[in-house]
Amino acid sequence: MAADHSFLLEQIAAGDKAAYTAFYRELEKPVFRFIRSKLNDQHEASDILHEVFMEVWRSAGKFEGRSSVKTWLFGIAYRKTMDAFRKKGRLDLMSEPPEQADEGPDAAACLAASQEAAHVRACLEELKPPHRAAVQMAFYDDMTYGQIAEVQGVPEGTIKTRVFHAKKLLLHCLQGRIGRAA
Amino acid sequence: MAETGLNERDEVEALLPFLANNTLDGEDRVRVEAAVAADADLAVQLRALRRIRREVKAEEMDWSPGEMGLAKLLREIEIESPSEAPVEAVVDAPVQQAPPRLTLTDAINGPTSSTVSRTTVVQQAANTNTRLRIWQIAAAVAVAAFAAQSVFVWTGSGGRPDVELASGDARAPVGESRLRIAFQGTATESDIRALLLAQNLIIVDGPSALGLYTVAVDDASVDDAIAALLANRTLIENVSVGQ
Repeated sequence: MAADHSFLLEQIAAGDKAAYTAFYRELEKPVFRFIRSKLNDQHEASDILHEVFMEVWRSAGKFEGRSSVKTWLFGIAYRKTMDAFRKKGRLDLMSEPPEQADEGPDAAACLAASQEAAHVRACLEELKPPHRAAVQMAFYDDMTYGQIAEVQGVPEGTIKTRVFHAKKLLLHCLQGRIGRAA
Repeated sequence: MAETGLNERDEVEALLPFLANNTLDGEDRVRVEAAVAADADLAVQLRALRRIRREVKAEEMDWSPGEMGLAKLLREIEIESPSEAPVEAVVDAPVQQAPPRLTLTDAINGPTSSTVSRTTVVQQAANTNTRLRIWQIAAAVAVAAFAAQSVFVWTGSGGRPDVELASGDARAPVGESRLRIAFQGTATESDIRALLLAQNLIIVDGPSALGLYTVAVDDASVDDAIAALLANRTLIENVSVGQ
């Protein structure tokens, strides 16, 4: 499928709207889901999706094949989503999450015993955008940490650090929510 | 560990989500699996992460822009770069069949499947015009019989130049017609998408102030498309043919 997407991009670069349509229909939903998972605003996510696919039309010829098409596309979506956060002053990329108490095995066991999708969703919402994005990319898009690093444009070590902190915060949050609900 | 500032144990924890999503391989996988086997706490965390992953993946997306988003993109692209779609612009040059309704499978068959000579396009248009006029009569009868459906025929290429205007004229190119559709208020985007994909239709304009969408259809498929659309009265309120 990756080769097919590359072929479509080549066609798009030549101005082929049929290829563009096929490309959109193939990838619109995963890209929208990717943006939507980072923004709690359907309309804003739609606007960003539009910008992403306009950039595909304009920049298809710049794709060099150094990454997969999906990684390239999600990279565009990620940058535009983070730009939206910056414009609204919702993003502090430099700060690290506050230190939390170690969740320990009890939190994880508590979560493992629950099926509370709402808690998972709520706790993901509490993560900072780059941390939430890393978790979403790992769990929804099944990306490797190398791919996530490529999409976010940071070293792999940064992704490991973000995932480490995100996991701690996520489990800590779930422990708190499930503990209160119990 | 200097790369992350994490100690060995923390780094294993950082890699746990990637064992959970099954993307870890090589030395990393061996290292993390060994740590999980030796540490009950890590094993419990791994189970929890797998559960979180299942919850994340199971979360349904209730809506996406879908075909409406595509129509908006194509409108903007047409305004931005009308010259990049050289349909019918150069006599005897190989041209792409205009507005796109290519499936991925079609697209990967290569450029020859999506390009035809101008001569072929014109011949196809001529062949379909006669049939369209017959259909026009039939449609007029249908209008009389079923006033509520108000179906009209636009004759495609007749009486207009074979060149798409640089201003982004929304009229159909040679060999193609436009259908205007009023969807039922209860039709969902996924329903609409499925119906349009099944009929190989693409929204090229809309919604208008009246909520009408315009779709492109090959002249050869106009009859079938209308019949198929009108057969879905739970989704389609009305179909008309026109510019």
